[in-house]
Amino acid sequence: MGALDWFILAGTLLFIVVYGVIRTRGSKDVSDYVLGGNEAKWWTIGLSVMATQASAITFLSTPGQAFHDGMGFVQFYFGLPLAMIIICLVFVPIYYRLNVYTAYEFLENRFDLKTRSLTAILFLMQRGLAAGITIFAPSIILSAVLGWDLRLLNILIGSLVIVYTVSGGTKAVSVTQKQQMFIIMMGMFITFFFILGYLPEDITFAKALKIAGASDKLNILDFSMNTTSRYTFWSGITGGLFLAMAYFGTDQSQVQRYLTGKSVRESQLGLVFNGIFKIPMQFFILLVGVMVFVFYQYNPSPLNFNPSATQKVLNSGYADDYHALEDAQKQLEAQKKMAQDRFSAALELKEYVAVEDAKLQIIAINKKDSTNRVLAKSIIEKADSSAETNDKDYVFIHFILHNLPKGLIGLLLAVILSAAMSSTASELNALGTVTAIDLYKRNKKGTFSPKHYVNASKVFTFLWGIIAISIACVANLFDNLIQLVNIIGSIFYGNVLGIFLLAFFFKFIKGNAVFFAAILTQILVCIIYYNYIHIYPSGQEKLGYLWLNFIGCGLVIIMSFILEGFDRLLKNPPIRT
Amino acid sequence: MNGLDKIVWKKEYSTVLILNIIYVLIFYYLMTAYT
Repeated sequence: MGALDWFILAGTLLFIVVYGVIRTRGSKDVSDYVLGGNEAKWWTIGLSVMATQASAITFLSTPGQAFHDGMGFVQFYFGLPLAMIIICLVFVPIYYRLNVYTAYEFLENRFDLKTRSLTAILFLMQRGLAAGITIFAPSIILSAVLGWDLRLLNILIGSLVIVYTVSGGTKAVSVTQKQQMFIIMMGMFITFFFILGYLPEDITFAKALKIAGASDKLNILDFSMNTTSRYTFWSGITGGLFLAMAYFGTDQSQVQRYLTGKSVRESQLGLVFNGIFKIPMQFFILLVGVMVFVFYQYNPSPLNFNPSATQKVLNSGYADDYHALEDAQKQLEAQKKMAQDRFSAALELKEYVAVEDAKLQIIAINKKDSTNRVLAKSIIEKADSSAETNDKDYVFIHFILHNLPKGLIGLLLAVILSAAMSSTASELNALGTVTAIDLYKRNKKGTFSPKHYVNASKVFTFLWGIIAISIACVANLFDNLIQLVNIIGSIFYGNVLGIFLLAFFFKFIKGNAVFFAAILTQILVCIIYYNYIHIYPSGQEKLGYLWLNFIGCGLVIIMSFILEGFDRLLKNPPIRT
Repeated sequence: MNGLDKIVWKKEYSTVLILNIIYVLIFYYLMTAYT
């Protein structure tokens, strides 16, 4: 990194923090601090919702996903537009009608205090842990490739977010997310055009797509009913819909974004904005990854993109084996370049038999390439069993650092850190709000001034910021923590979504039935998790953890019906004749 | 009380559906034309 990169990186991040603080000082009351005075227009809401979901991992990992596995991952988002419509139709009007600050406040109105408190606590546990990981995940990658101190990075990202989130509350989160989204999209577009510029002169965009297609990177849609495939059209439409409804409809870090709207209409249009632009955005990020793949068809790439994993093997007794594999890979890369040239020339001359011939050759070479990379991983594992061999997260950052010009590297690092900050800001803002509104304000006896609750919200946001940084700092002590957080999310999400669906659609179900059903469901989900997932080694589980979402949601609904039925039967026993 | 009363469909929801169907068709075209 040169001086220009440092200048752009530091300048961008400082500008966002200072702008966020100055633009949003002096909240008068809780409504001002928690809902930004309900002044947000639809485009602010739309950008804020997108910026909250798109964390640093989205921009680091997604291009790497496309590089290795193609663009099928976009199907994961196919349920999202449908979820946006359902939330606009059902969730938003109800939240507005009841004038709530948090999603869980609605549950007291509909059921009772204990159900509200239970869901609020479930949210705090799950989101508090996730906030730590949102900081930790980009830090571990950046520290590995740049050699920066991991703890310092965690503290830096967390502190920058704390400064403007505590100071300006929700309004600061929204205004900074607009800047962050602008920087993120600008950085990604510039990078995309730079990659196209780096391809050989005769490789146009259309030819680049053909090259990607010949290597199966453009298999975007999979209509098979195969349940073992992670991403298919059907799993996206069903599982994706379910997850998006739970996340956007019941998770306060998202609900708070659209509750800041000037009116119901502005909030709905903000979600419509997300429903229209989310899939193209994800498609574009994946396309960047595919273009990186085409770039590496003509340029050398490391066997494993994670530099710390490579370093570990080179410092071990397996260094010679690894070097031999690297030499084999170099020969393969030369063959690959020749095959791509033949493919491109045949395309140019419209010699379709030669095109098919070259395509078969490319497929064979790519198979060997994949085998070499799998071998490299197994050598790394032999050298150090604790090393992270999955290098998907490192592909894009490797490309950035080794190929982009000075200045643009700084901008792209600003993109990654901005994405980390935008997600963390929403999370801390929501955690502080739920603690202040659902727990503190609801249970604190006595009358206090509006300023008192603003200060309480600030203190809680600050404390959650410290907790998130602390989790990020100890995260590397646990194996596979990111997966653990996803599992914990799946354990709670289904139950919470089920409670909300009962609240919206089944008016005859009352608070007691839901509360006890929710507790029973949580216990059962934990038992299912332990017996079918936890006790099995990774990869041999009897149940994919995403199914816990469906099970939790279904169980709480069914049990609420049963308990409500029993309750009614006990209150109004049938008359014996 | 406080549950769902009525559903009001708006034209922008139809826009979301139509656009996303168009996206899927474009993806299908890319898949078939470039592989």
